[in-house]
Amino acid sequence: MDHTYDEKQGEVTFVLESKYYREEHLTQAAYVFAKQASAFMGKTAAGYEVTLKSKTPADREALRRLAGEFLNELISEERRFETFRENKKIIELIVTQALYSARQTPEQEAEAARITREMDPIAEKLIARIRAEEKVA
Amino acid sequence: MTPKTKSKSKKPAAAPAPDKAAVPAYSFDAKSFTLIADCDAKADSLEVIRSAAYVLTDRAYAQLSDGPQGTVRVRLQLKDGTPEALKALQTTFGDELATQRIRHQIARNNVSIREYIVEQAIHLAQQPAQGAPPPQAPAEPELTEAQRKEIERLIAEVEDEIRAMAPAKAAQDPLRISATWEETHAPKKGD
Repeated sequence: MDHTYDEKQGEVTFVLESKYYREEHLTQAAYVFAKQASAFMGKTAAGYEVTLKSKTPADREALRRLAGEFLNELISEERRFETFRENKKIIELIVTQALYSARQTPEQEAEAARITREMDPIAEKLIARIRAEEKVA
Repeated sequence: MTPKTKSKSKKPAAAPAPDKAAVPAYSFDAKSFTLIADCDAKADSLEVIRSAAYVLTDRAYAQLSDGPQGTVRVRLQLKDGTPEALKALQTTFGDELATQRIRHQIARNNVSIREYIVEQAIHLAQQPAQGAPPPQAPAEPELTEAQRKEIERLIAEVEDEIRAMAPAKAAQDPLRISATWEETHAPKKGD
């Protein structure tokens, strides 16, 4: 692994090629690691330069592990994206079906509107009472 | 014992030769316990290579980059390394690459079938909500005892008439080819 370590600063820097890693996955991985390290990213001709700054004191071995876990997280993100892409049509079908099943008939909609109309004055009274109690408090 | 033949066709089918292009070129960095595998991007898709690397992320840190001559370089650095583990990592990665290759091939071939099955399942789940169940035929009224006896009597009458017609029929069919099994095997009255 061609990493650059700065033990004094608790930083590790490495370069990733844009052919194999997507920018949005870099930010997602940085989010996952937000508790352990701060991530700084810059663009280079071939891809991205990533610097991870550990939030706790870290030696070279700890920095190596931090960078390694970050790289593995990136691969996980990529795999997740590929799986999503492969199953996109099935996901869409299931969501469409769920929405279709949850839709209301005109009779149900009318009933819901009637209940809302009936409940409105009661709700207003309750809100007024709560506000009055809040003022007293 | 059957004699052995020299014919080629009688020999058991030889195992297919491994595709040399699909075997990655391996190198090691023993100091950092890193396995470097240059995978042929023409033989294996990036998804296959990435999946194989992903499987090994429990024991190694994986990084993908461009390799020499259009290959994809996979760097696998052991989390806790020993020279034996590095050798085992190479074997595991090679096996996993072959497994993922087949897995992706099957997934690609069956994508339309998977989608069809899910579509059908959803379609079936949707049917009861779409409309009322089809009207069923009204149940037939049950026969009274008197009606049942009347029907039995009528059947018996018809059978008697058929039996009475039998001699005329036998003249036309002396070998009794058209006779039913019951007619030919029925116990005689004297039995």
